[in-house]
Amino acid sequence: MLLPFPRTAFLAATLMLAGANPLFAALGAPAADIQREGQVAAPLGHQLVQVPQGVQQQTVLTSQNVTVTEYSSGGIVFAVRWEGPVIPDQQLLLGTYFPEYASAMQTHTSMGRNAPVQLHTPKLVVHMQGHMRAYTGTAYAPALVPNGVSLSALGIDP
Amino acid sequence: MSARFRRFPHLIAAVALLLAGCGGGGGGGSSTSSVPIPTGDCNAAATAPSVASNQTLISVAQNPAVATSSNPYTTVNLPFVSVTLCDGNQHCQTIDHVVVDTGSYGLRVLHSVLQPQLALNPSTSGAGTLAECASFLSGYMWGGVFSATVQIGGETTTRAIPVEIIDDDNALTLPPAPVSCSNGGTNIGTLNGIGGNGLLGLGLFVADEGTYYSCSGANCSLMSVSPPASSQVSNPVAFFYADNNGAILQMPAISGMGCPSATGTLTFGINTQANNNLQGYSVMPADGYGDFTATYNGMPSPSSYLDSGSNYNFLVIPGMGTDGQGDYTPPQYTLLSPVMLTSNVLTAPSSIQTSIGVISPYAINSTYTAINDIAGMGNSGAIDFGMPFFYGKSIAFLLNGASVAQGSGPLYALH
Repeated sequence: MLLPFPRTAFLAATLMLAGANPLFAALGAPAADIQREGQVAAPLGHQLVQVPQGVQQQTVLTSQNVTVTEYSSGGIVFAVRWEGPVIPDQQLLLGTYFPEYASAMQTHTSMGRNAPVQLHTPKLVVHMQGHMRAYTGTAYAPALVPNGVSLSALGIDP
Repeated sequence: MSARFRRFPHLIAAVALLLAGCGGGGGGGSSTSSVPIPTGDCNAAATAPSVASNQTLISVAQNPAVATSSNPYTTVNLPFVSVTLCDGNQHCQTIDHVVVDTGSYGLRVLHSVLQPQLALNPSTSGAGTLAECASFLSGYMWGGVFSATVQIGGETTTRAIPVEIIDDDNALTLPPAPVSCSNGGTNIGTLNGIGGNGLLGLGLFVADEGTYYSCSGANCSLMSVSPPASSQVSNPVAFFYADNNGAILQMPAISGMGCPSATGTLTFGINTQANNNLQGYSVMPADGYGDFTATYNGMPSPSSYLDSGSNYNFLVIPGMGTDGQGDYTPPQYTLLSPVMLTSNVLTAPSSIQTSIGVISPYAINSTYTAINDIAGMGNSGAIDFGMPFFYGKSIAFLLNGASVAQGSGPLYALH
């Protein structure tokens, strides 16, 4: 079954961020972007942490206090998981996959507005839930997920 | 807030499916059972109770403005109250059809319903004015932050508090939503998006911790450091002179087949008056997110919450079919039981046992606005106990930081 989203305690870290620049490497983007942007929350530790199955993990805290954890393989982010008081800018989170998300959500909402987001397209899977001050979500690009990787084990809703 | 709206044309489909549904299969599974549809007195449910000075009526009924809009729909399970805003010159205006939302914090009102005479002061941020993008799962609300004294029933805030003025179609006060905000999907800060003229967030917390912008002229820039909590759009209850430690929603019991309307009571204060004492309630401390664990069918959902702004219950029901919108459509009324509510706070008392009824929305008269057993697909990890769960109950919300004999906020109490 699906893992409940494991919430981490928010750290009261203040980021030295500039404006609305990307705060993390987006889905499908090089994981190294996170370093180039130099906007990583040091207290959360952004060293690449080895997790099982050859997947690398890094976590950042945005200026809106959203904690974003990225999972990459071969240097490319294939899945993201986030939690925070607000829903993060999905364009920053999903990168080149954002248009896929935006158009799918358009169709989605035309059938009536609904609560938790469950978006499955061949290119992109997005889940979002929660309420003000306590949102969580995950996204992944099926084509980028390495063979043998268990999304559930990474806390990503399949 | 999260809502799913039914369109009027469902009436035809509803009748057809109701007939076709006769003799449908059973639910199966140990925690799902098909039982007779609970009966209820819709006349009693519609009758307005008398209210004291710390109370106001909650009306679940068709919003006529939505029925006559270009995109009419039945305002299902939207709990409306009237809220009065006052400016610094003691000019006041009462706004009807404001939706009570225990899943958010702070008051948001449509610009289009405000009289020009109401001169609310804009909040400033440095040299600019303060604006907010409030994000919800179903979309975003973009608006300016203004100061207003808020009155609800006999309660008044001790001072002007930050409120968000949304749906500024004429852009008189604010540039359009920046892309970083509109990336949040649909603009739901509208009459049709809300189903009413505003949203009254009076959940367990005070400040909304939203995404704030500083606007100068045509430019709004995302603030890299959020404004202090005292400048954020905030739950008015915490600022009342008295009865300021929380609120109680009391809704009448209704029929399992729904009711045309229902009238309940919103009571301010917890243990401050004879009418808001928690004696007899089951208390459940919430965690720092306002959540608790709900366990159904052996699956614990640790991010569960009580949200009057959700017009369905949203959860995972293994094996139950849905329609294209994700509405559960069991062939007959199905009771999910037990559903156990357990605090995520270690020192909490024992679990509360409850249940969730589920019926296909197509079995309900499509003009009925009060429905206690419609559910939509949720995600694992969270059960959103929406407005259907509130009927036949009194549910108290003790604010973060407040304490009463039964416990400290954030805390839910059910009766």
